[in-house]
Amino acid sequence: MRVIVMPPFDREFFGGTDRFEITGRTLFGVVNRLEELGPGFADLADVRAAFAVDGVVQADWSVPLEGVQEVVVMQKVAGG
Amino acid sequence: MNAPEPKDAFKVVGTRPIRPDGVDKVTGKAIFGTDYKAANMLAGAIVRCPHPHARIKSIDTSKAEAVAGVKAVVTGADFPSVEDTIVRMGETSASTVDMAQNVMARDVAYYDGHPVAAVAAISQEAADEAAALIVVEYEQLPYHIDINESFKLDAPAINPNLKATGLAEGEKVSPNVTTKFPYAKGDADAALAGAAATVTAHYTLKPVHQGYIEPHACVVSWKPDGKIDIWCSSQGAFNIRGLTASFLHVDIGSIRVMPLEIGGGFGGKNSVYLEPVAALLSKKSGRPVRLLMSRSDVFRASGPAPGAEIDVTLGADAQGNLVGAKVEFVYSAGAFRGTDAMPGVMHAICHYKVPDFSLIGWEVLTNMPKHAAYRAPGAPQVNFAVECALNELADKLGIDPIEIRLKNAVGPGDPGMMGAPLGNVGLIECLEAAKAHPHYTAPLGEGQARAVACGSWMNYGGPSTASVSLAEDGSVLVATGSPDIGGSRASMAIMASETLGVPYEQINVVVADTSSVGFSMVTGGSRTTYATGIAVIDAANAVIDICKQRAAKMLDVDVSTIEWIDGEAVETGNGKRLSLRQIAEKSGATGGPISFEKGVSPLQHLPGYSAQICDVEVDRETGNVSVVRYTVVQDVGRAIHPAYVEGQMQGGAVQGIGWALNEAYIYNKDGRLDNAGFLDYRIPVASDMPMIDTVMIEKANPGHPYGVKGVGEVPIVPPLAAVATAVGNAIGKRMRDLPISPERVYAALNEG
Repeated sequence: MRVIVMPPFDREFFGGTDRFEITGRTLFGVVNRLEELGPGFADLADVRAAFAVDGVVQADWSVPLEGVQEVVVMQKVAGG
Repeated sequence: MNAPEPKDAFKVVGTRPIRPDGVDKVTGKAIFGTDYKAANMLAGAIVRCPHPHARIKSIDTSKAEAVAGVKAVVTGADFPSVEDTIVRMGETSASTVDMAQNVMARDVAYYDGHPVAAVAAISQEAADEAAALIVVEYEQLPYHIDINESFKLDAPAINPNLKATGLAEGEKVSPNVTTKFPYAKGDADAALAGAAATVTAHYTLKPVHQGYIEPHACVVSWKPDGKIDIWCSSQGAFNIRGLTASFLHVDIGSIRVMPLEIGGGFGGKNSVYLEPVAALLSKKSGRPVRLLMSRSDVFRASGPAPGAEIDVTLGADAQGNLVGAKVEFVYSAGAFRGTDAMPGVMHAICHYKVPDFSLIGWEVLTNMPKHAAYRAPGAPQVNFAVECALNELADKLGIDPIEIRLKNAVGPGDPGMMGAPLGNVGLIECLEAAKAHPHYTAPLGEGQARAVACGSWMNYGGPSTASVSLAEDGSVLVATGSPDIGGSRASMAIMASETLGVPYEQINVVVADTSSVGFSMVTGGSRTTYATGIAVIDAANAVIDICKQRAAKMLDVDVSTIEWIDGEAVETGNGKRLSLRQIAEKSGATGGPISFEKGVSPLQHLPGYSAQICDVEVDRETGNVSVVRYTVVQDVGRAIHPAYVEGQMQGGAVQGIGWALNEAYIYNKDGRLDNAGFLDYRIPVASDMPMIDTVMIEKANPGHPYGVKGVGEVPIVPPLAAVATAVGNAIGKRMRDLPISPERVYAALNEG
């Protein structure tokens, strides 16, 4: 599964690398794997990150990712 | 979930009933933050730093403590240390260290108005007298009000401990940079080099305040058992609870926040300013304490939106198709780290299809109050620059400004900024409606000119909770944790009414306190009608299921034979009916009271888009600009209560017009705010404005049972460029610096 990490997380946690091949049964698994690659990411992920799974923003991290091609990790957008 | 088409499938959604809180508000009965009083309450006063940047060498509170009636004094030394953790804040996050220091300065005061001490006394007079007697010895430090000064590589550091995010390895920047947010696709330089026409320009804006009429206020009681009660108005009682608990190192569950009516927020009441201070004063004094900001305090110490310096280059082919864009901006963050650079980048060009682009957003510290969200935070500033440049590009190519936007507008299925395909979005329909609107081709008078602009905002969903319960007589009680800022009691009642099949008048909606309903995020981000609405609909559907089970018991039949029709349980076959009242009256004999609480966290929200047409008239003798006609066309999804949707469209447009023409934070040479009041900081009033025409494009969101999209933020995005371009068209000079005050227009008219 391709995981694309959008700014600012790519530079903040992954040394500027923004693409990974990761296996994970759920987004919890993806976040755990990203934590191994970029320590500190998991602590902030639920507060600062949103996840698009094959183009659809997914709030439930426990949804199975079987057959998923791509997860995009992006920053949540603030609102007023 | 699929919103029904066509619209006439609804019975209540789309109607315009009187809002449940309307009578209280127009008769003065509603209790706002500034109205609340507790028994035995003390009055508080805050001492604020008069300098833009100063080290606090000492604070002598002895004379204040000696004033008759003074019960408590606190300074930064009374607050617990705060670890630098990130907490939820609106839809984004913030550092607790920053926010805790913003509430009360510790060793350094970072702006004119920064709190340095507070007093509680038996009367406001005694509190004010004591506050004036607190002696603070300051060592003044270098400061920056101007973004460009703060952004210089060799600028003195406002906060030497600051660590910037988003920088490349070894990248040298100003010590005041908090954030760099670069985002690029393709080769923008090559694309622009091959363009048939390009426009490059620089734009500037000053910080502007949200301008809510009700100032910040709270009453806090720290009780002997360690529990803390807070009465305040805010955009999110749960936010107040969480942040206050974080600053004071107490359990979240020990704090109960009672939401009072709110007199405007627009993003500026997502944060905490007074509550932790009042809590410590209450703890020390053993009595409830009230703190209230004056209007001057509101301007000096609560969040404006960032000022900005913006560079834009747009390029298009001869037919007007955009081929490339470069946008780089610097936003002021105020005295602490901000959050607007990312949304600024994400909204710069997201409403257009641009194959190659380079976008860079910066944020820098300045010695001003910590900036706060303001309606579509980060979007209006950069959109002002991009839309003005696009209007210029259209002129250069000889293409109608709506036509060039239609050529480039995104539609359903086009990739969004993050690459994910857009859903059922309606920018193209907005532009077509604007082009067909009589306003667009109406004749103009002498001295008048017209312009258009577009804008977008992502909107949001996220966590919300609602409960639906039946009273013994079958009347329906809906409780949410979402403060009602723009008429959400009415929209929740409409959605509950539509779902349950009972009259709107039978629904009673309350905004519950934090101990009476589950967590909800703030009322902000254009999320409440969407996300809290889903919680209400889901809870109402669960109540229907319970009622069907109870009806089956009462009729002694299997539940599979019961249908729910027009607010009644109906036994199929024989048509026997039981009303909500009949079911509720017998609930004690069928299993107990009927209620259901539902927590949700939906993210199938869709972005909103707006196209706006502005006519201005310029007085060439004085430089004064009058907006003489204005039309807002907006993709609103399904309008649950159209009158309140129109109100959001009109209010957003008027605030954007104020940003364009009048509003700006003005600091003097000593770094002090010079216009901290509504006489000198002029927001538009009704007599300044024409009637704002509205056209709702109802393109339903399939991710909501009734098709809701957020509507509150996008209308403030386009007006800055629409007004600036219209003024430019009227006087024959591009207006690239806001506000477009009469002296700027006069100077432009009279320069060589």
